[in-house]
Amino acid sequence: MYRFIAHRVVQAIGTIMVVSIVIFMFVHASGDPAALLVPFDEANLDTIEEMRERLGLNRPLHVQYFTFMVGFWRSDNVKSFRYEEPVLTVVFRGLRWTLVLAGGAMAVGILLAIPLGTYAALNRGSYIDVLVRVVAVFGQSMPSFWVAMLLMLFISVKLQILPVSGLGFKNAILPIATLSFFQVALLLRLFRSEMLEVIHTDYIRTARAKGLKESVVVYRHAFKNAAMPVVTMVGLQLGGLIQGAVVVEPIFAWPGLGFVLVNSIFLRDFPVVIAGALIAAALVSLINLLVDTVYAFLDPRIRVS
Amino acid sequence: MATQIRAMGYLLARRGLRFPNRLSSGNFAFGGSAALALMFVFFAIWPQSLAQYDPTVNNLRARHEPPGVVDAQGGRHLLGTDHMGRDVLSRLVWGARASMTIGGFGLLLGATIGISLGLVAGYRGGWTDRIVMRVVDAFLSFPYILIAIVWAALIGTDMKSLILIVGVRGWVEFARITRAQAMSLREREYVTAAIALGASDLRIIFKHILPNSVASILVVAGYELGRLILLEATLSFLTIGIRPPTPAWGSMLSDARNYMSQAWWTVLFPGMAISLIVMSANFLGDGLRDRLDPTLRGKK
Repeated sequence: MYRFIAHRVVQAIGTIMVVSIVIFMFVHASGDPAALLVPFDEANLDTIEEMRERLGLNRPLHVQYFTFMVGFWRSDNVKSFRYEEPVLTVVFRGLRWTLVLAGGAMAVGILLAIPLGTYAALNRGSYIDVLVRVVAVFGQSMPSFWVAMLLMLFISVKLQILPVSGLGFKNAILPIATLSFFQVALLLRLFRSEMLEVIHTDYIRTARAKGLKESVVVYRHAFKNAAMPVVTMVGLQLGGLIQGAVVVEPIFAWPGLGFVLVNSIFLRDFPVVIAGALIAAALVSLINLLVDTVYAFLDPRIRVS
Repeated sequence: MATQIRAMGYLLARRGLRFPNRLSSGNFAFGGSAALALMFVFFAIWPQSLAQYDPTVNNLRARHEPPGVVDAQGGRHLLGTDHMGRDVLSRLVWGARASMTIGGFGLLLGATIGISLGLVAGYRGGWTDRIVMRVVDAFLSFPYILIAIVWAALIGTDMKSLILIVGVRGWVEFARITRAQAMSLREREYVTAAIALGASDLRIIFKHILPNSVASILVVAGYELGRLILLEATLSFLTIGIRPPTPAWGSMLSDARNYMSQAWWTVLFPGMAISLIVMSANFLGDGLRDRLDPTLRGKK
């Protein structure tokens, strides 16, 4: 098992390296990176030359990559133009609020998907079962920003039940609803098909044969085994949630990482765009690693393979 | 493992796309979505056929006219006008051009990269295969939108870059399906026979493996088209896609955000256009799978 984990650690580090190299290449290909990272009003030949010196941009390319990656994060080197703060401070402040949304969406997703998925699996062809499939069809085709805008239009503008945008408990409801709509679509399908598979296994037949109550069979025996892949999927979906947050947060002016990132694009605040994308990609890779490791402890079968 | 679970999720999400059986695998959904896709292609090539107005000319005296109302100059706007007084229907029809061009060429690019890598990886095996699969794993383990954002924001967003950005998103699934096909096909007896007859690797790949993989590749192409169009719309919505005033569905929605309470029609219709084209691409994928891929037939 330790071989498996070590393998995954190497793989995660490799992914983060590749992503950072790609982003570094974009920074480089955009022209003069030093000019990109000096605030406009301070930009002159001296300040640009100074930035070049600090980030090591006057050295050979492969040396540049390492000095850039080290120098970029030092708070006194690169600051956000807009916030005039170190980029890491800006990114982590946003990340906190994104995790609130992601956590909320995940919780709602699980709480809805498990009971509905169980019901749909045990009652195939019922209304809920059909509804589950229809939700999945639409969930795959509708852009999340459009769903967000429709929710806003009906619930905040027409009915005026919830606030349009901003930070707060009530303000979180609509973004979480948008993100979890796509979560539920996927988790429901997965849980339904897992449940269907488990319910036809021998040990379930044995449990029924020895006269256990149907509720005990479903919740004690079937449920636990069907839940495993769903747990994994929930972990892996975090990447999807961050992707969703990038698009949905700006609509609701929720000050998370996505909002910061997209705002920084508008403002041409390149240091934050670069740092935000890198940190988010690294975070998702690390969470995937964590999920795999936990899974290796829980499920003996994959330790071997 | 993670890759397997992700692949499973991909499959399930695809399976989830099916309407209750009678509808989706039936000829109705397949024919309907094919017709819809053809209609969008037609509009992309010849938008003037339906668009009465120039999609980029402002008419400030007819701002936010609701659908169907006749404006001061006597022009009728079937789907209303936007905040610049431009006809929403005309912009929608012209917007098909942006979506279809970027989605279509992006798909072509992704398919070319993915199929070549998949063929080489699956046929050669060994370390070539391991490297390609590592890259695929890495690609699947973080949200691509982050790369797309940095790419578009730093390098720029002319048509060529957008096709590149979208195409690079598209290669992974093509590589996976072609690799799987190549791996199983190369063990077939007719391939062994060809090798025994002294056929070159290239001949085997192009005469035996590629033709037998076409069905699976087409199925993936259907699904990927939807995803790539969705990616283009997302980038345009984030204002790092198609530049205004060129009409694109994503940027129409991005404009509509600011006037939501005054003009619901500017929110509703572009989103419907995106959903319709993505849904029909997905149904095309389902329909093609049912018709072409015997290994998947009958699975629900």
